[in-house]
Amino acid sequence: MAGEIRMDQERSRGRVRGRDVRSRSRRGTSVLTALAGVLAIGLLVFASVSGVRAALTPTARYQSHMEMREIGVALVENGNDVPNGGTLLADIPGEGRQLQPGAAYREELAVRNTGDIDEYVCLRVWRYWVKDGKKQTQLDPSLIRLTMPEDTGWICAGTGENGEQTVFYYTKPLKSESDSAAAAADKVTLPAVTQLTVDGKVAQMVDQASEKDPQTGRVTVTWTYVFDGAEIALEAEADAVQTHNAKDAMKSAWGIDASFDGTTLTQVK
Amino acid sequence: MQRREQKRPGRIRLAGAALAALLVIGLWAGQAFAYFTAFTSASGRVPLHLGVQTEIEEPSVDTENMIKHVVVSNSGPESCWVRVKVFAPSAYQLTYEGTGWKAESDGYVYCTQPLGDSETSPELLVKISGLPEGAAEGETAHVVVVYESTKVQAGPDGTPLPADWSMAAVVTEGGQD
Repeated sequence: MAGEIRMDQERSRGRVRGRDVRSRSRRGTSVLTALAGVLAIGLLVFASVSGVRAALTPTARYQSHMEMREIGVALVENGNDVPNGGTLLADIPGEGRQLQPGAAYREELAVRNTGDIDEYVCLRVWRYWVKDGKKQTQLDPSLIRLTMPEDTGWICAGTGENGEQTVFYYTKPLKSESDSAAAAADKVTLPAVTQLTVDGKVAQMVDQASEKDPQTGRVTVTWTYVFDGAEIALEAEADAVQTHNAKDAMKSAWGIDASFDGTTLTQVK
Repeated sequence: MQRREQKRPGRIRLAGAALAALLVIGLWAGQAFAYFTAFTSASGRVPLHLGVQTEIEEPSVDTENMIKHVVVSNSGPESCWVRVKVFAPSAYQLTYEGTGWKAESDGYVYCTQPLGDSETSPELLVKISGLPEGAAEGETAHVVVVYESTKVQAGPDGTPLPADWSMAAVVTEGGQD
């Protein structure tokens, strides 16, 4: 019995506690609701009052000037800026001439800073063959030879396995175009590429056929070249990134791990 | 009632997860595009014409004086170098005459200038002597002319390079090689 009494007492206490908790909870909710209500009313009142105050207070106009900085880059062919989407090789092979295998043609490709901030630049060059309007992957791109002089401030990251794409990184930051204190030479790179030559080997890939006219006795020999009628195609893209936080910017924009000695780019991976 | 109570926490969790994902994507996107970058591109093409067609006239023969007249024409469009070699029995003596042709020690006679588009070589006269005495009338003297031509290739400065005869097309008089 004693045990049962205790149990009842516990249950009774429990009920009492339960009631207390619910009661406290309800009270708490009511307080919170009341507070929220007061806050909302307060905000409304404040808002209206401040509106009134604003209407009564003499207005003051504040002006702020924010200068927008721009990053810009231009491809330079033989000393002339080429617009985005512009045409390369317009001066090859020259007026009234035909492209000669073995002859070296001037094709200087450089990059210029046209923006308001200093920048690092890279240059990507693609070369390939086109025939009947279609890219010919079976014709060797390395037969379109590009002269890439050394000691020009460019790091040549190499040519892709198919011989089509070559990537260059300029080691020094280019000064902004608007930097009047900077020398003009610091705003443009030296040429990464200086000449274009079609390798004479293209003339070795040939089929011959001869035919004799029995009437005249004339023999006609015809060479059919694999590369005859093909076009050399050159594409170039100049990319720029900011100099601030350049390492991360290059990683993000170009996907490379760059190393620096001061502001000079020393290595790319 | 119980079902409702169970559903609510699920929705809240789902909404929380979506919000968290949105925040993560937002943070990542912010990092990826936080740098100033610019680019520009250009492209160009140039056609390459390599076709060469050479016509060779069958030499006319002056049987009275035993002279062969050799002429080669390039029907273009590319320039080509030309050389000929004359084969005859060892008893015969061959002498060559003609401006613009030069006989070399290798037995070939070279046209000294490349033939341009639709250009014809100067005439080369091949004199045959040393015919055996007492040769019967109507007896045939076998003298055969072999013609070779190769496309002109340019040096880096655009001037024609010496002929590369390893790439020559060879035609024998009377038909193809």
